[in-house]
Amino acid sequence: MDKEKNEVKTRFPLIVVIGGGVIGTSIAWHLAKKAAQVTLIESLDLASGSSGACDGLVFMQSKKPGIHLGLAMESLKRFHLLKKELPVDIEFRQTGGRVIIQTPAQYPAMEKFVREQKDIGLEVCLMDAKQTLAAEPFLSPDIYGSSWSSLDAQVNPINLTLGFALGAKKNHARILTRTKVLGIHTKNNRVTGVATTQGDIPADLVVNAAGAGAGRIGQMVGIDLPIAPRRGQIVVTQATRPMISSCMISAGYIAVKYDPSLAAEQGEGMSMEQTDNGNLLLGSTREFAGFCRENTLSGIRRIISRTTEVLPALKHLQVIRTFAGLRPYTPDGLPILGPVPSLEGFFMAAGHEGDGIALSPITGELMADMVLGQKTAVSLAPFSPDRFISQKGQAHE
Amino acid sequence: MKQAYDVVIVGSGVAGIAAANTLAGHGLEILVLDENPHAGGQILRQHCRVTDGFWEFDPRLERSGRTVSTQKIVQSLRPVRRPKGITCVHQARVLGIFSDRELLVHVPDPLCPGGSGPGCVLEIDAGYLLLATGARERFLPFKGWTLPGVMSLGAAQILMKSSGILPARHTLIAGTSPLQTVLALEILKNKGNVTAILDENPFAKKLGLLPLLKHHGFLAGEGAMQMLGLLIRKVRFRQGVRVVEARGKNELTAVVTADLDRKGNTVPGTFQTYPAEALAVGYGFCPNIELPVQAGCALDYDADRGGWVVRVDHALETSVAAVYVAGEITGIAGAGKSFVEGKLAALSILEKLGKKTGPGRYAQKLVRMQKHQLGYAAFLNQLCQVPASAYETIDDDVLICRCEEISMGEIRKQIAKGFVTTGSLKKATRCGMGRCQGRVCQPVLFDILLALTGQTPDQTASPSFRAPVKNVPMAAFLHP
Repeated sequence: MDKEKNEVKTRFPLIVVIGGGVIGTSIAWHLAKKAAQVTLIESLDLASGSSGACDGLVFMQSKKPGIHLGLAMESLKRFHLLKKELPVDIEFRQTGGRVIIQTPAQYPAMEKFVREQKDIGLEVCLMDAKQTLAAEPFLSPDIYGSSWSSLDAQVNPINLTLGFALGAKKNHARILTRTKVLGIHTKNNRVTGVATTQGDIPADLVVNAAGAGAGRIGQMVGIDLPIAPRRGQIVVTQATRPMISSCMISAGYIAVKYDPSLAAEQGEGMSMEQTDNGNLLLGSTREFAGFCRENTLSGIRRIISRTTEVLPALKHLQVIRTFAGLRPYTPDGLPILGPVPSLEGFFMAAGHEGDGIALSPITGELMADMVLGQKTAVSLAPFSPDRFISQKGQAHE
Repeated sequence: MKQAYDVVIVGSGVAGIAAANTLAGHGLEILVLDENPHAGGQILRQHCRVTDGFWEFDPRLERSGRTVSTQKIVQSLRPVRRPKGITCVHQARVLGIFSDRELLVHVPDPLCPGGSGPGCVLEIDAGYLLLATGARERFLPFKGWTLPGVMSLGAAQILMKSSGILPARHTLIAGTSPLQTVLALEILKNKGNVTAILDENPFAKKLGLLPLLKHHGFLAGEGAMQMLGLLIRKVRFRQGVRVVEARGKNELTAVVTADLDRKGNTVPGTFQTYPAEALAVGYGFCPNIELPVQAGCALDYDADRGGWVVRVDHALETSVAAVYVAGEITGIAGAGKSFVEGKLAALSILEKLGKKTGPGRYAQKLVRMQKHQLGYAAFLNQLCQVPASAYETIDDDVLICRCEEISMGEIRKQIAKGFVTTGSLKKATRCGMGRCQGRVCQPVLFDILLALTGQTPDQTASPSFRAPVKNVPMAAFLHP
């Protein structure tokens, strides 16, 4: 009954998406394509948060087998279409990806991980050191092998975000940059608008895609979700001739991703990709440092020592830039996608941590469908905000 | 080298040396960092060739009058034994500044434990930080400006001063900068030839700006003397013309100019071609604000002071507590202002530290001198400015960002799409993301944005910079 009432009321709903990162712009683009009236609000510039301060890995192998990997594989399919559809060259390349095994102990662990991934249908295989070095001759001879998937890919995250935004604009979405959200207007427990530094914007539906800042936006309407900023630092080298032919992460990276307690003993692992331009993007750290976006010498050192261990030739390059982004961390490593029970018309779409770029195409599509009350291609139930709200004992059906 | 110092001074040009001298003798541990092999910065480059020891200015310099000329500064520089408590490290590049005045510094090998080659990167804590990072030259891109043989006025000077090399047998000089005549004389002194000086500024503009020199009458005289010297040497001198193209296949062979109308717009059909082996061209200066921005210092835009400058209070403290700045980064006005501000900033720091700094009258005198020096800033920067039309008429195929090879056409396209802030245009075009981190193109890009959008500087937003502000070898981070 409730649902019917909503549909009548929101036949031409005014939708506001908060956040000009890759998730917000993807949602705006998908909504605009469906001719919805959408306004995107960004406090600074497009891609000025985590989406402009990250690497571009679209890595399948790093995803937890299960719903997480399932979602990533759906997302991957859509990248091929985006390449044609978006008005910006997103530099999407299916280079294949490699998980580098650096200790004998990691080998059996990766064997098990690969088996599980294969069971779910991911095309992946294990290679010994010799096979790995034949494919990537610049790697250190000290490695123990790698797992390889031809599905893994990379993309230019800034271009992807700008592509979504310009695509949305072409479909008549309104994009307001340098506009800060001051509050959310509600009436009878329903969203009615968003107060911003550019004035009030009426809204029937609001999507909170503010990334690491999504917690703060939620708090404006009394919603307390456990999204915390987790700092990831990246080191950029000068542009150089091709040094690696695929993107890479270390087995340690996977371990830490799913069990932060391992960070102390295993380190944070490493990731590497070489962009179309020839720069190498080296990552990364995973640190809780509040909203501080500064790099640290120790962070830069950790990244450089881990990546040069795997790819010694890096030592001859120059560092031209470092940056740090705040990944929106959630305790279970899964994004928070869906309506909030305590406030009608308010949706969450945040908490992707380091997977925002890879998951942005599918997130945008599913959120657009959900917000417009249409059936989603993948069930979003496992990602519902309810999973955190119920734990806190708040009002919950 | 230690891990922490009471005061860290970045840059040992005129301001840095003046500050270090003033701070010495108060029992403070002071570190002076400079990226060049010797102290002196741009003005005193060839006068500070000895690395061991230190420099000071004859105290009579500041008593000599209301203003301080570059010439007097050069003359009053003298070597001294390094004062106790002062450590100078050359070829040390400050790569970034983190919270609480923590500096990321790349130092050369002799200072690295067991190092060989790439140097190492250290963190140094500054109780007080004084940034005196100076300025660099500003460019107006034209067709062919990336050809070998085209260089900045300053680069041509450095070639001669540091390496004793002439830019070429015949050099053409152009732009708006007062360095044009200085360079011409320097070339003649070194037995080179100056094909011509192609000054963009018409005589009427220079005349109109003269009232701004009320405290610097001697500078007008100095300029006139230089001109006279050049006329006697029969150097060809044209005013009111702009270089619109540099021609050549693999290197410069010719330069094309166009006449300018009263508003500074090029007049169609007035092209003239000059054969040339080298073209030295410059359009004034812009402050090196990378490090103050990293430190979190607020900026102000003031075209009369050279663009984005660091916001300071009367004591030269920035918006960030205990971070002070002196010299060109508070406004381009030459060596005299740098000298005075270096002293003033040092006095402010001493006062904060509760050190006795002598009579207050002395500081008051310096403040008055600083005001006079600022009068010159308006003259200098207005002289060097080009009208918005100069940017509007840049051809689409001219490269703006040399590192990433981004053309004016691409920039126009993205501005039309709505990327009209410094940060968003950089993301949309990659302009400034290359090896030089925007050192060359960033000020140009900003002027292009202002010219093409008609926005205010604040709407366009000041640039941001990430560490390292200059390239550093990966291996330098691998040192323990």
